[in-house]
Parts: sequence; structure tokens; C-alpha cells
Amino acid sequence: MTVGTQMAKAIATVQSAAATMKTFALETQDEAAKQTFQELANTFDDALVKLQGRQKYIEEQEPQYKQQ
Amino acid sequence: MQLWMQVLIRSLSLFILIIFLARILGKRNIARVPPYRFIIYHVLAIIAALISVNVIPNLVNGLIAIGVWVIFSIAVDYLSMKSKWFHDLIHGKETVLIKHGKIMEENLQKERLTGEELLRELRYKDAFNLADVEFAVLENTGDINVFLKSDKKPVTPHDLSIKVAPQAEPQTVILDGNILNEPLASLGLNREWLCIQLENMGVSLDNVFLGQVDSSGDLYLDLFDDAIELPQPKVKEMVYANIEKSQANLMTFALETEDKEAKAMYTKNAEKLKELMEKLEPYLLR
Repeated sequence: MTVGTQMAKAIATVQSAAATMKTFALETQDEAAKQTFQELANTFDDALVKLQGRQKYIEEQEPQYKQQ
Repeated sequence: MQLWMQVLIRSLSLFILIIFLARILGKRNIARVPPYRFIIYHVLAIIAALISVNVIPNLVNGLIAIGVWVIFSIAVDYLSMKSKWFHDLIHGKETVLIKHGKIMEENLQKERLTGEELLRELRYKDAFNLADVEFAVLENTGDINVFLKSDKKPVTPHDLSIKVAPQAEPQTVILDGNILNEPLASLGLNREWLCIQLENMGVSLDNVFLGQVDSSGDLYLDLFDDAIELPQPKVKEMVYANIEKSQANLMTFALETEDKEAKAMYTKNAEKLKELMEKLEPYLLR
């Protein structure tokens, strides 16, 4: 597995985790839990943006990693 | 007949008559009527009061006076509807007080308005700064309406070029523990739907003071028992989060599978969902 694929996989995982946190935040009735989930979702969203930036950088540096 | 009997009978019958006449005279905001209507209302009120306490002993004379004032008031309404000339004659024309950001002093003088009064009225409209006002007009009801300069107006989604979902007015479907059928029907919903929603939230109908359904079908409830925390309707956000999750899952599958065909299928569908998300975002999240 190339670095590019690993990166893409990491992004997909984080994205899935963020979405899961968002559903949890919406589903739970506990205010404290809701806030925690919301914060986690925000953290994941931040991570997602950073990872996407990194992926872009990798693709620029090593075009052969770009996904077909 | 004794005097007190007379007063009693007159008052009762006038009470009914006046309520009926008030309906005929139409729906008007009492605080915002043109001066002539203000006078009509007061004359009617005074005549009615005088008849009621027997100051006008002749009932017929009093009723004639009331009739004239009511009929002429309605006649004036109809004529002003039919004729623009008559309308302007009765209601007067509105006066422009500020045009292109400049105060029209001669119009102020014509309306016998002082600068302080103008400024006070502008402040009512949240225009503390005269520089923000492009146009202001004195309506024939005495209100001053203000049109702000385009860069001082409140920002709308249109200004920010944000797409937002269209929304119709919410309908009140439960009031004081009673289901209102007509608003429910106008949304294309029925009692069964409402009962299922209440059941899902774990609330009995008797406990609901007020329930509203917005145009996207979310039910908002206010309960008599304020200690109960209700889950806020978040159906749309939920749908979006679920789509987001599915999209991320498809991406993972596409990366993990060895099968070329499956990979292509997963990638294609992930992209489809991504497009869908972009399209749905304004409708589900804003």
C-alpha cells in the first residue's frame, strides 16, 4: 500500500468517525454527552481538513501516488 | 318606566349594537388610523356613551346619529377604494421627509414637524445615525417609515450568496392538549402521524400545551410539565450525518477491497453521495 492510499484511507476513517460522532451527538438525550460528542466531531472535522491538506501536498510532491 | 331600568336596557342593547358596528367598521390597527377615522371612532364612542346613560333622552335621535357616522364612514372607505382622487382628498398624500439622504426642510415645515420629532421617529426605526438613512416618508397615519442606505441594511442570505431551504409558515397542531385538525390537514398530515410522533417522544397528549409543525415536518412541543426535557427535532441534521457516514464508509470499502470491479463501484457511489451531500447541504443544514 502506497503512502497515498494510506492517506486516503486515514481520511475516510476520520470522516466516518466524525460523521458517527455527529449522529451520536444528535441521538443522545444527555446534554453533557451531547456536548462531548459535538466537541469530538469538531476535532475530527479539524483533523480531516488538516489531513486533506497533507494529502494534497503529497499528491503534488509525488504525482504517482495520486489515486486513479 | 323607572330610570334605572331605562339605563339598563339602553346599555345592554347599545353594547350589542356597538360590538356589531365595530365588526362592520373593519379591521384597523387603532394606533395607526388616519386622523379622520380616529375622530369617527371617538364620535361613535361618545354618542353611544351618552345614549347609554340617558344624556340623550330621545333614542331615535341618538341612533340616527350613530347610523350617519357609521354609514358615512363605510361610504368613505368604498369611495376611496374606487377613486384615487377621492382617496388622496380624504387620506392626504404621504410626505417625503428625507430623499437621497438629505432632509427636505420645506416638507418638514409643511407638516409642522421639528427636527427633534423627526430624529425621534428615526430612532424608533433604529436609525440613530442620519447618515444611514437614504429615504424617509411621513405616512398619512403619522408614522415615519425609513429606507436605509443599501450598505446599512441587515444582511440577508441573498447578500451572502448562501442558498437556504425554502420554508413555509409553521402550523400549530396542538393547543391546550387538543389536536387541531384543520392545520394538520393543511400540512397533509393526520392524527395518526401526530400520535406516533408523540409516542416516539414519550409524551401524552394531555401534557402538551402547544405543538407546532414546521414546513419540513419537525414537531416542536411545549409541555405543561417544564421539568421534562424533550429531544429537539433534529431530523434533517440526522439525515445529513448519516449520508456523510455512508459516504465515508464507501470510501473505506473502495480503498480496502482488492477486487477491481468492486473498487470502481464503491468509488463511483461514494462520489455520487458526495455530490448529493453538496446539493442537500443548504436544505438539511441551514
